[in-house]
Amino acid sequence: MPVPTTDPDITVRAAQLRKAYTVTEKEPGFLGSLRAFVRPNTRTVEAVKGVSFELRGGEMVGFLGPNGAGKTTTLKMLSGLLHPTSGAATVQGHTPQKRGTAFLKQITLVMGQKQQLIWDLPAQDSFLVNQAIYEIPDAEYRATMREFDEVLDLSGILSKQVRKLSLGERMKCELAAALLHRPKVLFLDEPTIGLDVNMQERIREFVREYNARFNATVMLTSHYMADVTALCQRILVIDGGELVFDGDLSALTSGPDARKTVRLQLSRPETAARLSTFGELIRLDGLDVELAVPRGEVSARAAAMLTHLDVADLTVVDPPIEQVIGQLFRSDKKPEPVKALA
Amino acid sequence: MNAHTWRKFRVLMATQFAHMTVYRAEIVIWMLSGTLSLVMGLIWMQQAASAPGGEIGGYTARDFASYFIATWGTAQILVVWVAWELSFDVRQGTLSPKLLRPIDPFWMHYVGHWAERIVRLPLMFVLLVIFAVLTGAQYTTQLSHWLAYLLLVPLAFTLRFLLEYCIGLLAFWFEAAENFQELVWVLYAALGGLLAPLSLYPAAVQKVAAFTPFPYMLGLPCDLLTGKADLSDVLRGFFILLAWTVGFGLLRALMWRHGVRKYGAVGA
Amino acid sequence: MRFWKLLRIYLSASLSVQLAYRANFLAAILSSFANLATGLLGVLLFYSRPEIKELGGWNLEGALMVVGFFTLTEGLISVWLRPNLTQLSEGIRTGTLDFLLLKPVDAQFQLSARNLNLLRLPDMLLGLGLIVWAGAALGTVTLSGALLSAVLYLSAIAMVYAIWFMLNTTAFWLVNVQNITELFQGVFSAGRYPLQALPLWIRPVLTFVIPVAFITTIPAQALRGELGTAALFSPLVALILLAICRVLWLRALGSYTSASS
Repeated sequence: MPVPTTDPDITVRAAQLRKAYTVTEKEPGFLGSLRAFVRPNTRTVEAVKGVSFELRGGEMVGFLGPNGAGKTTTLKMLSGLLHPTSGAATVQGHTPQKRGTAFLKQITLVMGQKQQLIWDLPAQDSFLVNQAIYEIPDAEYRATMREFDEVLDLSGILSKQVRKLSLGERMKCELAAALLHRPKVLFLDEPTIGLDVNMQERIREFVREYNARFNATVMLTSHYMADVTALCQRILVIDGGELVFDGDLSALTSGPDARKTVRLQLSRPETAARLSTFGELIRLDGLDVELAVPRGEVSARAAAMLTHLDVADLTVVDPPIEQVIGQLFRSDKKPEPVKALA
Repeated sequence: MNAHTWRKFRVLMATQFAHMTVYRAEIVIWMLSGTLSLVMGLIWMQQAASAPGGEIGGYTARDFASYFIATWGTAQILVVWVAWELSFDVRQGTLSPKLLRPIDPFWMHYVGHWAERIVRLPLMFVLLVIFAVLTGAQYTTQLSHWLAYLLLVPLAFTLRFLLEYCIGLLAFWFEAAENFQELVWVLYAALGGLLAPLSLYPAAVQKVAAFTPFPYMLGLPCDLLTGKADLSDVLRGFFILLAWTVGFGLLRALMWRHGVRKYGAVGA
Repeated sequence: MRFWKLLRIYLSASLSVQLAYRANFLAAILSSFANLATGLLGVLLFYSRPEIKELGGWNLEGALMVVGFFTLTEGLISVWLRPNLTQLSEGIRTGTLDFLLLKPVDAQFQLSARNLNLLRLPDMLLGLGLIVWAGAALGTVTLSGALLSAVLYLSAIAMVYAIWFMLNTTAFWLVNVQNITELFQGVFSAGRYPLQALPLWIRPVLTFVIPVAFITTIPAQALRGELGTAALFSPLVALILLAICRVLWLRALGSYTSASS
């Protein structure tokens, strides 16, 4: 049952979304198979354990988490492919799993490798199919194609057989086909995976333009932090099927737990134990050292290092986001002691 | 039919036709590999020729030739592989992009099959003429019978398509459905009349067959062309096929609704 | 010994995958029975007609023996040849053949023995059962007849293998053609009943052009004790086909240009 949306600005709402799978387990080898044949061992796996959040119209949100955390399952529930075991989702006022025509015309889900293009035909043909299926008027179709062509540079590749396109070209076509009907809500699952840096930048640019032009809501998962930092102000972090963070990207880097990384170039080797007294030792590689220190104490600690160590060079940088999020995943545990590497 | 529906049909048909022409060599191979009815036809012809009186159960060698060539051609129009496609889609997760579109994937497959028929037709026709000339097969010259055939066979195809679709949907529950497909094919071949004209079957088998849709899908249209059945048989057969078609249409809708709920439990 | 060890590993792996599909397994057994039923129904239809006393000189038991050999061979193709050899064209198209060529085991062996579709094993067992039953019902089978039949059937297997493998080897040149072996299946379909039941004009084709007769009819004839030394022709044909098959394979490898992906 759809949860009544109180705020008209909310386009995507997940309320205690949960998805559990039953999986069959098998011991390895032939005897294991035989046993499983006679009496299958089943086990319930909770991929998503009650996730709640709301997205506003026009918002671009990064959806992060390690592999198997439940990102794709959540996206599939929000786009109506999977029926939630419990909880409810509302997207543009619709219940996704009913997969009503009005709902499907307003959303899109792009999954890295799973293509909706017809492999043996030119991409153009798949576009025409989508135009017919989504009932897009000719004028709108031409206008959309023109706009997409400007950002994605589709000229020349639309008439080539899809199987003969490069990965990047295929991804461009895939995205264009998925957005041809001008959906208001975009679920993008790893849209840049496997692409080179230039192509990643272009896809990002395209998503940004699309968002600005149509005020579309974008929910994006990616392995590349650059995607997220370039597009999203807000991030959701999921781990083990639970939402562990929902907030500003900058809050992660400037909150009370926020840290900075101090990079040192030493003139003389030091022991790990000694270095650890100045901050958490992240890397020790000969004379190259990286230390994590609390944001507020950066100046004092840096001064101490300069005084007590033989420092050839010192730089202070923001830690890479992977590391920040990794820290978040371990936030309930004690900071792990750094083993001496030397 | 409104303008949007017509446009969807037209575009899907054109695209699927283009798609199928890529696979024309495959189509020819599959077409030539379905020889069961031809082999059976050759044996029955040989037996009739050497039988005292030159006929078996009222069929001369030439009658057998007419019947089995018609069976071969009709079976070509009734070829359905949707069970394999669906089963694959469900297992590999390639159903997902199809589910995201505001159109039931059923229609893509259905139109695709008809588009393939168009690719198949020219060579099939040439072969039919060659077979008929070689064996002296003879067919009805009554236009009404041919029109009735053209009415019956698309319905038979639709029924077979729905039946196979339901088998393919079993993949939601059983992970793989290919062997169910084979089981039903055997019934279709045996009871449809691929092995012999149904009137030559033992009486008990004929009775059982009458309770299945198969004799009306294959045997009846062929009997019509060879002059062994008349329009009243067709009328009866048509309504029986229609009833089965409605039945399987409902079953498909039901299975689809429940199956899609289970989808994703496999791969994710 | 290495071959046997590899074979055992392949076998175990194939079985493990397939037992996981339980309902499918049961349906496969059912469809094996249904398949046999089609063959039997076909043959019984002939003999149920009062106009037909014998099918090209074969009584019912003899004809059932041919059906048995046909079912056994179809089973063997489904269990062994189809799951293996159809991978060749896929491997050429996608370039995965390269991995196989790099392994220090003969590539033809690897291609021929990697997978077994054991779901179809019941087909083979039912075919074998039918041969034994029909032989017993016939009552005239001698030990020498059975031995000769076994030798002839082994030759038949070699022929089927060689034909299948050669058809698949054409994938090196016809990259876009898969399932070309189904063409053979279409012709082989004529072997489900005794050769002599077919019209005279087609029998030489099924004997000398495509040796379908050697696969089902001739082993059955040997079992009935109807065959003399002329039967030795069969192993010769098998050897020739195997030799051509090997030569074709080596030539194909020579002209192989790996697909870049």
